[in-house]
Amino acid sequence: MTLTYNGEDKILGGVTYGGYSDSIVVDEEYVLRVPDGLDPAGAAPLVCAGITTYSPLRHWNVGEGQRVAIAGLGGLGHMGIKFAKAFGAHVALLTTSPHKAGDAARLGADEVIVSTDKAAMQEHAGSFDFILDTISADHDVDAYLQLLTLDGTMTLVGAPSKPSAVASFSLIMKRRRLAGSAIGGIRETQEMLDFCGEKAITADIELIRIQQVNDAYKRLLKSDVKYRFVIDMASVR
Amino acid sequence: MHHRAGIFAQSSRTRATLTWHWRIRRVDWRVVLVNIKTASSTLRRKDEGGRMAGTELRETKESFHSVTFPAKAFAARSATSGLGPFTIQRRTPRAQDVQIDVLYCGICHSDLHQVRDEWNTFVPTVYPCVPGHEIVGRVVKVGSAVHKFKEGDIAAVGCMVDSCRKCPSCLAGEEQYCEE
Repeated sequence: MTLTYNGEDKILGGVTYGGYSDSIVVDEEYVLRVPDGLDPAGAAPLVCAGITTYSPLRHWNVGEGQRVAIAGLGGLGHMGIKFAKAFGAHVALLTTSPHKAGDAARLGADEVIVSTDKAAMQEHAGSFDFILDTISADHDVDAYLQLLTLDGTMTLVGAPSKPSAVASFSLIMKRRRLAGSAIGGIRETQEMLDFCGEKAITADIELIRIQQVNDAYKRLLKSDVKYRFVIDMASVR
Repeated sequence: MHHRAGIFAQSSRTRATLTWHWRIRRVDWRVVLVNIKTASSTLRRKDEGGRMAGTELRETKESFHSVTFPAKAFAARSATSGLGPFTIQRRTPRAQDVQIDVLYCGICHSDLHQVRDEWNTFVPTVYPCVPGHEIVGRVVKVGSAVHKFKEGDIAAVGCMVDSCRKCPSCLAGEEQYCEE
């Protein structure tokens, strides 16, 4: 697979260059159609943050009658809530920040569970069919596994720097599964964009100029963005 | 190094010579070495086998597309430099290519990790690095074999721009798990 940037450029030699640029040339088999009517700026994050959450929710057949928890409310988590809700599931946000409750409800979450609240975690133990863990900071994966029901699955899409400790019994006792997922294929990414076109789903974004990119990176490290920065590339021309 | 590159360019008889010399100043040396190694082993195989010379020569030519155009970008020069203006070269579209004027590009946390070379053990960053894989733009040119897009279409490009198209994952439409 050739990554969009920092990949091996098999045609020109050297490495591939990404989208912080006024122009890009790509083989048509790897280009996606953006449905009419979708805001192009809000659609940009769909092809990474969007598909990274859509693909596992589809793969593990999340839908009506299911209870789903989305762990973490950032670029990935906010898309996870939107998709899980659009698929008809009961959606909970799992977060360390109680103040995110209002936003979670606006995005479509039916409830918010504060993961540092032991009583709340106990109350919800064994009650979710699927958990999508989008958290990229180090966190207690084992504590989240306790929320899964029999045969429930928790899928990781965030990438904390340290390995997580998981007690064998957390998986054994309810035949739970711990899984991972990476973006999605071209066909599925197109399916996701078409779905977003039908349901009018885009990312919540803050539009910036390319000259603000270094400040945006600093704010990203503080999770100070709701919920994705998008660069207006007219500013690079 | 220039000597080796010169021999390579001459042997391959491609039109890439000028582009190659131009690029050699700005590409990562590790990548240059890999390219030289791959190209010379292709040529050696051809010499030893003494067959299909024409075909293999054409393959070598195609792997070094020589026509480019400049594009304005923002790049990181090192792990600590931050991002600043930088001009890159894009290939002129081949028959199967779509040329897109980028309108919007999202900022993914991976961009930050890659720019700061924080995934050094997994995918070391080659500088200058132009990040961005949440791309939406307008199609401005299509190659002669392109049938899915036309000028004026709004198109998107995500995390990958190619894959091997032969492994089980690619054949199943799961290119993100491509084995190459």
